[in-house]
Amino acid sequence: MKNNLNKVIDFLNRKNVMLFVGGACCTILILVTILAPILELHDPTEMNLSASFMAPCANYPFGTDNLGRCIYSRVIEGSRISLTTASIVVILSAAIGTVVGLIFGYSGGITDAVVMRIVDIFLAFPTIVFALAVSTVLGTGQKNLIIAICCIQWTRYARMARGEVVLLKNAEYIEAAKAMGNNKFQIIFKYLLPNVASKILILMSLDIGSIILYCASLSFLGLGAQPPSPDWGAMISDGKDYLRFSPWMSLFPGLSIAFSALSFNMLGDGLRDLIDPRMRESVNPE
Amino acid sequence: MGKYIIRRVLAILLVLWAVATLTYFTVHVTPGDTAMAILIERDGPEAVNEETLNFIRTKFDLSRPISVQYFEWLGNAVRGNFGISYRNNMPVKDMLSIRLPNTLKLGGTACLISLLIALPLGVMSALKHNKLLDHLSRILTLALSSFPGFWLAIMGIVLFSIKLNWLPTSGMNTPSSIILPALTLSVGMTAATTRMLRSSMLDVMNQDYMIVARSKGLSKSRTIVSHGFRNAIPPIITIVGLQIGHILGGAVIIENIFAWPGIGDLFINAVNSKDTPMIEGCVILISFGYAFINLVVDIIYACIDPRVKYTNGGN
Amino acid sequence: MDELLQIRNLNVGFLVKKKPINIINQLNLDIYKDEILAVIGETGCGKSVTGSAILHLLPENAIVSGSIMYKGQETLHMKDSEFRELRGNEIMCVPQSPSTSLDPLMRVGKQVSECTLGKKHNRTDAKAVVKSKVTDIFGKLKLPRGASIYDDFPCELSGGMCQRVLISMGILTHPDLLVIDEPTKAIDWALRKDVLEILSELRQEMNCAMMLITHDIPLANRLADRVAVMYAGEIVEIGKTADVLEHPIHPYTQGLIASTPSKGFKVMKGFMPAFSDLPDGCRFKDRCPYACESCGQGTTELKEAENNHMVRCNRQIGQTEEGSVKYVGSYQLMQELRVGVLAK
Repeated sequence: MKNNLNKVIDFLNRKNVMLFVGGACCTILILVTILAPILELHDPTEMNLSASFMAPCANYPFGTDNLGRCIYSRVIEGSRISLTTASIVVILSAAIGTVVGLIFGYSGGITDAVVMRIVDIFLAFPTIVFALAVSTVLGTGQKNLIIAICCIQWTRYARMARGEVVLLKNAEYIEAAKAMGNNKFQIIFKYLLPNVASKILILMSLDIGSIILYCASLSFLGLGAQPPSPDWGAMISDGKDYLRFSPWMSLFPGLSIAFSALSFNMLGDGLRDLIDPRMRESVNPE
Repeated sequence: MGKYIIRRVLAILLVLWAVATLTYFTVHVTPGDTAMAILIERDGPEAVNEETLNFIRTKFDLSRPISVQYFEWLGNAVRGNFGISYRNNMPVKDMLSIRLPNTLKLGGTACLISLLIALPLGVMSALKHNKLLDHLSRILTLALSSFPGFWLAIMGIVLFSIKLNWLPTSGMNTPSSIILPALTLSVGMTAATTRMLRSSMLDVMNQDYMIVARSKGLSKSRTIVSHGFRNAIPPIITIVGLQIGHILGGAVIIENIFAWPGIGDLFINAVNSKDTPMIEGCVILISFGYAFINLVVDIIYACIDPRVKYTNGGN
Repeated sequence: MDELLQIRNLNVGFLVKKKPINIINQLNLDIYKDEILAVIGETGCGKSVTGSAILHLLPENAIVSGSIMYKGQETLHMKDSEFRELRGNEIMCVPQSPSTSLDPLMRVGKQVSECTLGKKHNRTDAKAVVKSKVTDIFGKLKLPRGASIYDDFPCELSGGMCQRVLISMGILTHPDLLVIDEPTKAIDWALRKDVLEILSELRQEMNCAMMLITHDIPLANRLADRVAVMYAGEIVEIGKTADVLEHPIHPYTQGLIASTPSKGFKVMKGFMPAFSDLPDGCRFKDRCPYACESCGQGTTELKEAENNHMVRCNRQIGQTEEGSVKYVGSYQLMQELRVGVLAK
């Protein structure tokens, strides 16, 4: 028993299990998103009031909701909404944030201070609070949800990129690059970006998980895709009123959120272990 | 040091002013006739008539130009006066001050729970690097950080309140009411802090000065406490500051689920009923709390890490 | 002379991906009381590992065997708590790379005084006493601003000042053995001169043996009583400074000296073999200008060439008629070889 346990631990240490498991789970998720129409057993928006509040059974693997819709099919369809929203938010905010952070971090001076104050202003709002406030103006819906989250999220990348650049810009190899006659943009994109890129990539992969969670929270509050779209957060919210006799209405969408967030978190973790060499052990005889 | 604090305070005041202005102009300036919207929201469309509309315009000060309104609003807001709630005619200030202690109680308990779990777990995980405990805590924190807090809250209600009948489903009438909301609120922060502390400790343990400390003849435990843990703390402080922001945001949902009478619950209701003065009051109060915590975090950071003065404090 | 430290048959290896890689091979080394022994060799030859092995500061994946006797006491198998009585008290070290060796969040004075205050059995030492001791040493090492530096953080000091803080850490407890690791690495010429002065002053003032790990041959020449030359984890030549550096016997030592700027900057061909892939026989044979067939097999032992001058090379083993070991110069050797070839 103990021996087997040691073998497992040994295996966990030697292989980047997180990366493989996370990668596999993410692949499954993406496949589910693509193959959603094939995997669905029923039309996700089809109502059948005679079959409402059915517990999980052969015909309805995850049961049915208050309107008699198949929760399994809705969960499968919901993955499309969840993943597309999350990836758009991450790519958009990483692109904006990195460029802003790199350019202003490297330039320094007054513009840097002003931009960082603007970043501070956005960071002064907790994401959900800001998104809720924005929703009173923009109204609900998936597009507005993306805008609201991006407004806050880009600042993370801007701060990260700027922080790295401020540390790196006085490094000797940057001095050397300057001495070799590179101009500002060459230094930023040829020398600084590659050094920041791995961290940005790790942050992105780690962020997808939390963005899935943000989106779920906001659609739980009714800000995301509007009914009858099968949004996971909204489904949990619908189930909230029927907890006593049909908890599966909230259970399965929640598990799907957790599974997708976990997959991306594992992938991000694995990537970080792979890319960030500081975490690995090295032997230096001298 | 004094200079640094003054600079940070000034910066935060600037940020708060910007936050207030941004909130005012995004929330206050809604398209259409505000008075009409308030009336319909409160009494239904059949109550609309010119007399009542005029009454509402004077009562909520809606007839003057927006610039005049803004400066008067800002002047009042500085004194904590955010006007009168559209919904129930009570001053926003009074409602906020009734609700604030409840949110502080909930958030404070959640932070405390997080730190009590995260600090020992993170350090042990780093010290037992690649051992069983480390793997367990990594898997656990990864899983915890992937579950949506509001879903855990709902499942907690199903399990502990409905099925087992141990804890109340909502409200804050009994002392045990706080357990479920505080626990579900603390999950995200616990996971994030544990993970950060682990990686920060691992990073520090590989530093040259750790070996030097051992070469001075210090014991392993003393090296870990006075050099290792100490150097792992600054990144943790930053993370804790950020996580408190998540707790404030999460509290909005958790309070709503558990009908915990705090700012978050007030905020959601205000958003749902488009109660503009209340929305402004809540957003500004929450942001103020967040900014204040981050100010404290920055000051603590500067006290611990002398390098801050040379990278940030110059100009 | 009294032996302070005797290293016998020391082997140090590291477990890398479950495979042991041997770094130090059957090392024998004595350090006598109050002497300065310089260990020279190129980067990666195992000098610092030897130092760390003496101080028990090797990483956890290290495998150590053999014997290290300090004042007649075996230290290799001591528990950490026992050895700590020595390390940080009688045996001290001055680490390399001053910029990363100081804790960035602790005042330097406190870091130095930790050498005595940080231990349980030394609680009696009043803080004020230690503080005045530390500031004394700071003054002695000519740290600018003397006492006020006590409350500075490492980021407020220059590299040279950090180096001196590290040296004061090493001498605070008046150790009997001081391991100094690369004191002139990554330091500019002016600072190097300062460090040299400090070390030669220390040598006169303190009764303390020093193990000076360096690849700075002129520094070793100025300071050391004896010099040991290491190559690929083995000592290839050891003896009095004048003997080793003025009349080197081993071709590697000759090459090292020829590669110093003042001796013509002639760089040796080739590279040190990787520890995971060591050749049979003499480890230097692939780079040796005099390598012959017998160098390729067996082990080459460290043998006495002159009085207390030991060399690990087949070339000088008693091939002369008298049977006594005699240094064979390269010219002579070439002659002999030619004669040998002709005779065949």
